[in-house]
Amino acid sequence: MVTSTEVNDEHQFQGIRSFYNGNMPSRLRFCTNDLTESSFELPLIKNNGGQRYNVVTVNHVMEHLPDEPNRWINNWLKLTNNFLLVSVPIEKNPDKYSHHQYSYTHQDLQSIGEGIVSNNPNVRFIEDGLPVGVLMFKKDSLGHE
Amino acid sequence: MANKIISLSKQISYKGLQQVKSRYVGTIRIKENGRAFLAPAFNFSQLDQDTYYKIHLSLLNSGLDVTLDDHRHIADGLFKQVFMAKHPGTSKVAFDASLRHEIFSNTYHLFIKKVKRLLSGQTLPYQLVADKNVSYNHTDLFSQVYHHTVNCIQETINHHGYSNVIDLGAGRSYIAALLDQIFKKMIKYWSHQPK
Repeated sequence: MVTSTEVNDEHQFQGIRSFYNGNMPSRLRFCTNDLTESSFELPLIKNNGGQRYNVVTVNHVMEHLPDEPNRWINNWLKLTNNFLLVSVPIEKNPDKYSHHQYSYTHQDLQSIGEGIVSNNPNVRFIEDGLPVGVLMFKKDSLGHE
Repeated sequence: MANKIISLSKQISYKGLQQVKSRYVGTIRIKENGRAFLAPAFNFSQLDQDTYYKIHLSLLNSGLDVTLDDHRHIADGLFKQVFMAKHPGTSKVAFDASLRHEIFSNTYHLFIKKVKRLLSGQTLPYQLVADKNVSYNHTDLFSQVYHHTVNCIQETINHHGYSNVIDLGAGRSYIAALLDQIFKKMIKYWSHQPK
């Protein structure tokens, strides 16, 4: 099952609906949501039969949000019972042409990752083998829900 | 600078864009190094889907390196991941301009069809070649990101027999279609592997 979300803009999903000629596979779902809203995860979990997701990916999104990385990552962790992958571009200054609100360095990400796990005893920070600009967390609750 | 804007607008000949040009062409800017971009004030949600892709196509046809958002790189990375899965041992895969062109044009359905052909084992009708114009290799980055993503999926499949995945901020919806096609293939492949 693949669920794809985007900000409150249903328009974004019209292309894929027309691609499948109205016969969207049931394994593919789309939801609109605003990642910056409190309790944003509740409708997404409800959409998944009340279950958290095995894998949550958030690619090149965080740099578009205000400078509260710990808040965002902790929110996204609420969605998963196992893996969370977050990737951002590494840049010295926000790329304003791509609407970036904030920029991250590799050191920033390392510090953010360590801060997250220090406050979440059931979350591990996976570092080995990841490309620069990617954070991976593993939540040890799979099979206990 | 003003001349460049006029030059660009002349190349945008699609009817759909012409209809909105009077409102939006003023937000199109060109940087000194030749990269074009749409200013933050540009509101895609006010455009219909066809017009949106025609704008992409028009800008790409202008011969400029267009920066609209990050998503083309994500799609490249996904596509590369499919290719690597089909051809293990391949160490270097990049994409030619025509492929990227399709991703951000109103022919993006063809791009997805090519992904399907690739997944079904058919040979693509063109060579995948390195894009020398890309200075920062987002394609490789996202290929690695999705490599790790599929590893995570594999682990949860091994544990549960299934995996559900959510991609937050997926952007243009073809990303979801690619994910769907890739994961379907991966899940089918893994289901035949010894645990």
